[in-house]
Amino acid sequence: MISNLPIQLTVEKKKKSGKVIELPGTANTFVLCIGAGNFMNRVVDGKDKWIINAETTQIAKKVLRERLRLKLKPEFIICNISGNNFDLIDFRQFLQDTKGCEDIPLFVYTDFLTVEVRWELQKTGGIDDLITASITPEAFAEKLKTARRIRELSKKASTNSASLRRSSKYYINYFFKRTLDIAVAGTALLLLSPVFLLVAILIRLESKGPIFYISHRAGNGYKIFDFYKFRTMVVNADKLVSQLSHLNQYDATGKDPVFFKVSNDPRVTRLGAFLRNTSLDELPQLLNVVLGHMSLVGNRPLPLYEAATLTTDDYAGRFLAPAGITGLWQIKKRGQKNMSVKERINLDISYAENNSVLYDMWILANTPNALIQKDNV
Amino acid sequence: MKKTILVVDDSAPMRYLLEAMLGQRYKVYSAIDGLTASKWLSAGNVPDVIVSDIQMPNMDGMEFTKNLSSNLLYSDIPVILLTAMQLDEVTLYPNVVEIMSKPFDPLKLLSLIEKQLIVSPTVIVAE
Repeated sequence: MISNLPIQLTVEKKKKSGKVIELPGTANTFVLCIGAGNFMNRVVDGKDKWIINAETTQIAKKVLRERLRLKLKPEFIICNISGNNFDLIDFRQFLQDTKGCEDIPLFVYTDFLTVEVRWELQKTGGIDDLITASITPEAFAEKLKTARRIRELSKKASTNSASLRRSSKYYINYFFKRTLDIAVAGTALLLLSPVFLLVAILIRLESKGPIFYISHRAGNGYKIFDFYKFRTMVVNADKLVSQLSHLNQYDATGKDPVFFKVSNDPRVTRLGAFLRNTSLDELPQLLNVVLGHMSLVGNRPLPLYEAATLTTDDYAGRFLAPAGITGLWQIKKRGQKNMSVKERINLDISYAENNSVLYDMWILANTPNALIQKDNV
Repeated sequence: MKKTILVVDDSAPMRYLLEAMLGQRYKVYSAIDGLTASKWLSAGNVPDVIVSDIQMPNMDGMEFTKNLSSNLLYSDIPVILLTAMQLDEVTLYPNVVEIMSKPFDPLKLLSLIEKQLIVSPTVIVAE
């Protein structure tokens, strides 16, 4: 039925050139069945279908070539693999490579379907669907409709596999960024080692507990790593979060992503408050930089409960950038108490889209201004 | 051998996020819509799990999932839907193992995928 129109057109055209091939009137459409076709009455109402039966794929190829020369195309092809050992990959390749055959739906019939057979067929590719003995003409019509629709859509849309490929520019930039990170963070760690020692001793003297506070953070591409800070709060501070939720600076009631931040947090120790105001508590992140979890410049690696609220189409872009100690929002808005979550994420996304080593250096140069905070952020 | 995950999403940042996140454990392929994904499958590729968005151009996630579920060749591949849509608007085809709404917890997604990979292949009805 589908091929009615083209056939008649061709016949007309060819008449003029004198190469007419007369076709039987009922042979406008046909179905090609490879292998035993004893099941075909369960697939189509046999009345007005012309079924050509080919014993092997070799014969089927021959039939197809002949018919194509007559501008005749099967409505669909069914290959019965029960008890046969057909080279389906070769046949599928033939269909793909032969002009006019690319869009013929190809079905495979099998009496008995095992996991192994299915796996083989999945890997063969080019097969629209499988049919088994339980098939009915109605069910098959549905399968044929779907197969046609997908083949038609595929023909129209020239979509290609869209894996996000990275340019060589990306890798060059990454190389310089990493080099800068190791050089600067490594040097800073060496120079600041006396400060590290002093802070470590002070933390130990002020309150019981470890020197570092280690949390899990989500960085570039949501890779989760151990994030180091000097401990500025009492031990078990994380467990106190729920008791303080009413003080949250960010609106946690609406649909917006949830962040947790409290002014004058009672869990902070006195030394902790000093470390936070001077941003000295962030120093151990130089270790993260040297270890490759983070970069000097990038988007703040977020605690997991915050990061999990940003996995939407609009916000996912922030994870395209490396995680960093300092970044756009720190230099632009640091010290402003009520910077909205949206503004912050938009700065993150903007950085992810525009980051380069030169931009990083500009941000680094502007960071000292932002280091000493006027407000307890 | 690394398991294979097919990610279908029209949002490039989301694809990147999923590729990077899942890529730490699995071999990840991604397609921009249901049609591209169908073509990829038709090329003879076999993913262990499919993670698909719903609202996409050309062929949306619902049509894609429906096609897979009614296709004996692909009906055994578990599908996890990730969507910003209301969950009650989503049709649950038998191959859908979970619908997660965006924003989603990536750790939850990972454990869900892991669970699918352990499940032994379903026995196919054979006559």
